[in-house]
Amino acid sequence: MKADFDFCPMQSREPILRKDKAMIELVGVSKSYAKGKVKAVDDVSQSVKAGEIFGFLGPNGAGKTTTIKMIVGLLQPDAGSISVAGIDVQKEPLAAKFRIGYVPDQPHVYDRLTGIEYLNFLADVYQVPEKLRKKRIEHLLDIFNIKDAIGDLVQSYSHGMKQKLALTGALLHNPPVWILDEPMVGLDPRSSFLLKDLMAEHCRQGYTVFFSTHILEVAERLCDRVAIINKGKIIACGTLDDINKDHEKETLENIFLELTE
Amino acid sequence: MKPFLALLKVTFRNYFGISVMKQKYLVEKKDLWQPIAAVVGIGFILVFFFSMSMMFSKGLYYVGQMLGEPALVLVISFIAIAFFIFIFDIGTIISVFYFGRDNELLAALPLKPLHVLGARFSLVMVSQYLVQLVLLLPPLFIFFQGEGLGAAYIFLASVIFLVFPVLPLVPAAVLSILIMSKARSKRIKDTFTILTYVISLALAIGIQFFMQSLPQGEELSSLEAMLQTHGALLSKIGSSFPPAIWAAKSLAMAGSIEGLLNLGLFLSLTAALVALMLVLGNKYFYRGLFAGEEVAKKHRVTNSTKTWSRSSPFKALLLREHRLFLRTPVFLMNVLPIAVIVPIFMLIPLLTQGSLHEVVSFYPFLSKYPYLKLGIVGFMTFIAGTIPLSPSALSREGKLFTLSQLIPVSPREQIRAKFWYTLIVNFVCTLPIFVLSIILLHLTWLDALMLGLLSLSAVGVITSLGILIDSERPYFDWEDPQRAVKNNLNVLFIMLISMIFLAIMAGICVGLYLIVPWWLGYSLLLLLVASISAGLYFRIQSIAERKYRYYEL
Repeated sequence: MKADFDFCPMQSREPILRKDKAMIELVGVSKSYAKGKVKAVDDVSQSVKAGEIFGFLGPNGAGKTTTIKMIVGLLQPDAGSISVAGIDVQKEPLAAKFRIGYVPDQPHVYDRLTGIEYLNFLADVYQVPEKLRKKRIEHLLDIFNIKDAIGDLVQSYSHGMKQKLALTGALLHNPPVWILDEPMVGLDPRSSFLLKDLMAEHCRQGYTVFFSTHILEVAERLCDRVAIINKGKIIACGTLDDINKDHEKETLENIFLELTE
Repeated sequence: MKPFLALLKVTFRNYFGISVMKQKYLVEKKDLWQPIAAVVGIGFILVFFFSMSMMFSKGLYYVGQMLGEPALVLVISFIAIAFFIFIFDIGTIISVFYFGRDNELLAALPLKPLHVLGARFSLVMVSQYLVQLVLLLPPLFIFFQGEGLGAAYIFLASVIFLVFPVLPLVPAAVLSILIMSKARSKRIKDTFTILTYVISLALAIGIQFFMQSLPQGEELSSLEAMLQTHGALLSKIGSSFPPAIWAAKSLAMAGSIEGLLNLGLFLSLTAALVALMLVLGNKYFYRGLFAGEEVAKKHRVTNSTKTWSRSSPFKALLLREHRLFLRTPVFLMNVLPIAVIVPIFMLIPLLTQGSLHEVVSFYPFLSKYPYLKLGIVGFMTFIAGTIPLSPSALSREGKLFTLSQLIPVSPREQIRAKFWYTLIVNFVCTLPIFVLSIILLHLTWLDALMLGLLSLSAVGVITSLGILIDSERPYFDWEDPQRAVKNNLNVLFIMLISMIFLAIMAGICVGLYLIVPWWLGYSLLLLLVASISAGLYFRIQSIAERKYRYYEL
């Protein structure tokens, strides 16, 4: 499978996608555990457009991570279909993976590799050209301020540093769709601020960020649209204004509490 | 005591995956063939080694009887088993003690270091009962049967059976606690781990030297002669390793006051050893446990052009396999000793007993029956079956297998990288045996070429079979890396399957010997094994393509 970098070239930062195009599309997605006894995700349909920062909210065990894992191809839905950047995740998983940058809630990093070995491994499997990878990695390392530690074994990193390394690894192939599960956890305020900035910049270029969070203020400030999931079902979705109108509450926190009670 | 018991319960549940098994096999009733296959596999291995141990114990008992000291079988067994456990389980102790994933969680709880240490020690101790079942039960039974003893013996033997692992495990634990307490970083912790493995390896080689220095085939009678010249055996050994004699006397004199006194001595010593370990552990255990947890301050600068050089995804995957294997001491030290120890064990008889003439006398047979040379391939294949790399090819990644599911490289290509890396390591590990055999048996280059190709193909079969087993039942949910390679049942399965494969191949060789000349037989065999190897190679790729994304971690 050859990497298709033309769709998100590093040099060209102009938006190349139409604003109305669905970058993430879930249609009737369901997932159960324990032989169908526990419905983790129940008939979810959702569309996220290009140029959108989409916040995915919900209480613990609501189905957020299961949904995210299905979008990135880690879990297979029992029913329904998922596409990313127009590509069916089940039918063409590799093509979809090239277009996704995923950061899980617990960073997936090899403790016994050095930071740079880990990043080079990812750059190799995502087939990032040599010049581009240097530029991109250095840029991201500067942002997250871990350049000095990159020659050390990951096992010597703090949790926050591992999270920053995982973020760098997920973004270095400049994917059009970022899927971030609780990305702010473990980050210091500066890195958190810079990540939010990166997310906004990514969307300004016409790309998409889909992220889950428990920090409602972040969702309020950053997201174009949010969805609230509870017991596997989407119970509210839209811009913050839309949701406010529907529920006649002042803050997202109050709406969240009311809906997930 | 209550917190310790709670911890003990959780530690056992977690380590042996009891809750997971309950859920999977009893509630969901999924993959029920797995426990059945495990019981059959373990049963087969246990019966095999148990019978060997029974034979040896019987021989030893008769020697003891002739010397008028029938308890000899017990004393020697106690000493041998203690050494065996000490040597082979010091690595397990380090892994269980220091490389668990729940270190931070436990340290944050209101538990003393000795609680954590005690729970982990109990874990290792219970794991030893399976070993003892094979090694200690036969001598205990032979002595019971031979001496016609009663219920008191059974009771005391059960007590000693349960307490016995303390004797070798506590010194191993104390040694590892003291060594690890000096570690100041994770890197040094890894170095110490490797060092401990090397020491135990050297001890194993030393014991093999001693065993081989006894005249071959007459070990028992030479032992008898040695004992007669050195005076009373029991007191002789008793002076160098008293607990063995206390345990033996308590059993031999079961029901008498002297027997009880000896049991008292034995139990007091074991209690004192445990107390010593707990006291030391309370002081030093956490030092080693959290060495290197702090973030490194000295950073190594990386700015060479090599740093940014691009590799193909396949090469990147090979490199990942290689680095993770080399940098995880537990993985490395479960494989490397096989490459070192087997050739050394082959050489020891030649060095200590001058058996070279026996090898020379074998040459005419090889010329007359060239099929015998295939024994080298068989031996290499058997050894490859004991290397735990292929049956843990996927499992070794643990929970980070998720990353392999996420990267945009086809499972087919990922499994290819695993296959080639494992094949190289397996073949390199068996290569010293091959080279040594070629040199010792004065084989021609043509022989070497044919046998080499055959071995490579056969090792390829074993490698693919190992990966196939691991693809069917990968074990990602391990807490410490030791569990991925040593306590992984897949390792046992590949050993069994490689033995079955060898038995089938031996049958085919006999058939070929009867109907075709050796050169044609070799060629046909090569064609067959290479075809199986190639077939399996493609099979593991198609299975990976089918299964990779369905593994739910």
